[in-house]
Amino acid sequence: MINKPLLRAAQHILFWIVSFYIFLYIFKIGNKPGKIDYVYTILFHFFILPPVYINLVWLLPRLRRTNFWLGYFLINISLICLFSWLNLKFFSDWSNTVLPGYFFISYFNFFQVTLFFVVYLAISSLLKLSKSWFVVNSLQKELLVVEKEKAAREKELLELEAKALRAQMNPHFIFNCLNSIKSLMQEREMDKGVTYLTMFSKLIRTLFNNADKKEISLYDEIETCKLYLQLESMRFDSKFSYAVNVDEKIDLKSVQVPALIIQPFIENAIWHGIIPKANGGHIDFLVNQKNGSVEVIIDDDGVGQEASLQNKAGLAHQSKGLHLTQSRLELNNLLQKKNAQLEIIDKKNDNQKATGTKVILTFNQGE
Amino acid sequence: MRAFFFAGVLLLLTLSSCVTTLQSLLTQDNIVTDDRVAGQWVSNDSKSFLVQKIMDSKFKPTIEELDRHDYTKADSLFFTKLYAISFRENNLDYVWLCGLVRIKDQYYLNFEPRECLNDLKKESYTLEGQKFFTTFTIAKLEWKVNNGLSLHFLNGDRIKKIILNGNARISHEYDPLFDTFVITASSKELEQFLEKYGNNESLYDGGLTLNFVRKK
Repeated sequence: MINKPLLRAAQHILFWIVSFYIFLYIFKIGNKPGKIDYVYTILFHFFILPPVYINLVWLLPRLRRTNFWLGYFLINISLICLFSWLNLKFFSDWSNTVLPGYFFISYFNFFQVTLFFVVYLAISSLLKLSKSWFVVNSLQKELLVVEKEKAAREKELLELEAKALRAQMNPHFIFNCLNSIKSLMQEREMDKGVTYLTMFSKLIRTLFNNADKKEISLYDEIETCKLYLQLESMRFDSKFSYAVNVDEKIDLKSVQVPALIIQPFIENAIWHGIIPKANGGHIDFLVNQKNGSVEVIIDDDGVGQEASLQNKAGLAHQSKGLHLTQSRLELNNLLQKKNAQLEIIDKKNDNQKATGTKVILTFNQGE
Repeated sequence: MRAFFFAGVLLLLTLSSCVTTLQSLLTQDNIVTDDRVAGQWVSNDSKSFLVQKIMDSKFKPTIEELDRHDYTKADSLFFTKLYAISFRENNLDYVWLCGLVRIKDQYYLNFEPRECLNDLKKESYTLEGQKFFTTFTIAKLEWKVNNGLSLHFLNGDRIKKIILNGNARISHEYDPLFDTFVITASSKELEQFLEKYGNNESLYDGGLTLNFVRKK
């Protein structure tokens, strides 16, 4: 790989060599350039170099920072006038002292010399700007590649996160179920325990089947929820009732949802809404069609979120499953470019007393 | 090339080693007059030179001529500032036109050959019909005490050498076949050159110097 400062120096040298030869053929007085033409062209370049490099090294970077165009033009005009005057003065006067063996006069008037300088400053500025444009363009391309790589890595990270969350869901759910079975056994309700275990094994099989899937059909998700409701209703006996009402017109298999996305809300309704309530309660599990979307509603008449939080002494005891589910829903929206929405409504009566919680999950059909 | 070669030869017949320029040093802006120039002058080799204002000479144009050439007022004014120099050499009567230029307090004379007549008063060489390009030569004028003046002609050989060696950047033409050399720089460039190097003695060294005394 070529050293960048070296390459830049080579570009500058090449530019001045080309410039030298162009000027040499413009300035030559015979059919071909002679010694005096070489000397004159070199001397002429001595006066062009300073304003060009003052512009390139100091003025242009300063302009880029300050965007002070008026100052930029005023300084450039002053530079052009100064070095044009120096050029004229050198060839019409000073060259006699500096180079006594050579005879020069100023072949151009002030206006003509300034034109040379204007052209040079314009060309060098344009070259610099076009070079900067290429550099910026190349950097932008590099940045785009880096951003794409970053986005890909972020997506990968999010997927890993989502996978980790899914992995956390199953043990959490299993832990709760095993707790329920343990409770039945402690209460010596063996028949119920066996039935519970059978249903639990059925549920576990479903969970295993869906373990590696990012998404499952809403149909499978509802079946899992039904099994869970059955399990929990068995465990708590007559503590709560539930009703499942699914709109038959909905093609549940065409709607893809994250695995175990609804179950935690049911679990939350039972454990944190109904159970703390002294006289039991009821859960409505509804699946409707609304404005082209599928609305899944878990509506309980429990103690409500506020009372539940107070019972649990703060956020530390908020259902871990619910928190995970919210995160998963957001991640899934991000990764799958979906727009599933979650709405949690604290139901209250006319006296502003909590009358339960209503969770509405909305999934777009065909998603 | 042949045209100014011939004219150059004509000049060299009388002023060998003088510089030859294709363009005149004179312009409407720099030409001046000095009453001291006109008169009868005798050179140090006793040759007589008559210097007349052009309007006092036989070259004074008629109204018809002026109309015919469609001169502008500036052209006419320029023309009136010229001098005609008549002298005889090698049985030929020469007439030169010359103009005076003042650059940085220094006077220069710009010469151009105009006429060369033999004893039969027939034109031996004439440039009147513009058959050839006229070339010019330049001399520095130095006023002397006691009605004297010196003409220091630029050393053509020296200038040619400097230019051909690549030490001076002045437009020129050189024919190596006939070894003819003429400076083709513009009037403005000639003026600039004299402004800068007019007092450089090395350009006159070895060149022709003519000394004159006014004839009483």
